[in-house]
Amino acid sequence: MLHLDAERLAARDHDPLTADELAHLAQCAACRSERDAFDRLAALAEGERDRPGARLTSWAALSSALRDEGLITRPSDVPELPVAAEISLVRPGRAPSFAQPTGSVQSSVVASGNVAARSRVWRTTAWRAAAAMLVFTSGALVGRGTATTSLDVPVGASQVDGAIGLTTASSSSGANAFRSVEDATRALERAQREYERASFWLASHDTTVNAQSVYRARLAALEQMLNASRAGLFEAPQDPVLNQYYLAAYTAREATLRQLGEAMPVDRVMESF
Amino acid sequence: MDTDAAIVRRAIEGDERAMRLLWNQHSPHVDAIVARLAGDPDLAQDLAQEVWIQIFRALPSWRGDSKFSTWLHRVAINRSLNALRRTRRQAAVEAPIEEHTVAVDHDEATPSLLAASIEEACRQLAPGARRVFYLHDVQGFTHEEIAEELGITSGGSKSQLFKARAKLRRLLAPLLDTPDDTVERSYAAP
Repeated sequence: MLHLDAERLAARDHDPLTADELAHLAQCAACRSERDAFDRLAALAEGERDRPGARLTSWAALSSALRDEGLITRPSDVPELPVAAEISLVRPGRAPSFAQPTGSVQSSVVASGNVAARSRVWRTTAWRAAAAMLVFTSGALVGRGTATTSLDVPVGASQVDGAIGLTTASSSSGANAFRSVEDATRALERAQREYERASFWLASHDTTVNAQSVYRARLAALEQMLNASRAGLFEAPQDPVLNQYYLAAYTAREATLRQLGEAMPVDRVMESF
Repeated sequence: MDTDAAIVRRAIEGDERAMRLLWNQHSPHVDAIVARLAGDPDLAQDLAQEVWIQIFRALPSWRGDSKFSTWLHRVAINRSLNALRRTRRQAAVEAPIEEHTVAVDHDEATPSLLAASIEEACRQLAPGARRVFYLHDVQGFTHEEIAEELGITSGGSKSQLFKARAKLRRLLAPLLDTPDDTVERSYAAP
């Protein structure tokens, strides 16, 4: 008998080998080797399923297309979202409410315009203060259960990359943990994703802190940080680090809004903080 | 409240921040699906944005009865195949998927055609064979599901799968052969 055809071996999980073919296989090392190669191919294929690929899209291009399609109705480059509407979206059992923002939310819009007109020195100082506060706040939010984490833990090998990544960003010794710019950038992106996930999770699950006054104070501080962040981005709109800080502050603000919404009585709608 | 459900709900409402979160979280996986089904990197780039728009349009159809990632996975495959069908460029560079017409080179792969990875090898398959192999052996679709997605019969799907496997086996010889595979072997039919 001649060797088994490659397509015949490729089909044996659909069409089992006959007795003659099995007998040949038993005595032919070459065909057994070929069969094993097909088994390895099947294993390789299975491993492909969850292997991530390179990104083919950028958010800038995609979000522009989504706006054109009318799918984005609340752009994130307008941080002054209607607060009551945003809270009502995450409160179970309540119809969405779209009350207009009032009080200090409106004030923050005015403040935003004023900030752009202030001096460069003020913006730089405010930005640095905001960045420092953000690192602290991020650690407090995400690192609640990771307080004992050492700065020497390799970035990327931990489930708590968010806290570690943000902390090492301000640590001169931590900078040595990265082998390249790409390595550090990947760690930063991982940290951002983890941070966002943790923030949303905490907003939905954390019931240990339930005081409205705490949330209101945090929200007011985050509002100031967002203003300062915007001022920083005004100076360097393409800077990836500044963008990361801005996004982190924005995420923290959203998470706090949710927490505040959960802490309020069901029949109350927040109109200011 | 489940985090995925909360984010999806806000994305459906048109919240860019929530949409970006979903994209940020899932694009490595979704874009990999697009790339592997398209085969050609340029074509994949052209399609990826369209697929994402279709995914966001489809968000309201996720009822929460399965994991969001599972739902997204299936929708990404479906929308990628739809986008491929619609692409004029696709029609211009290849014949429609027909049964038993996939040209598979039965000669031994020459060293210059050997591939270093399964992804690279798959790019050397004919489009129809590549999609059948990807859907069946990588994604675990049945031949009936593949037939429905690609508009062919399940028999045609099987035929293309076996040809694709045989060609991949030759292209990937450096990866699949063990050092003691020194026995010469022909591919003659029994």
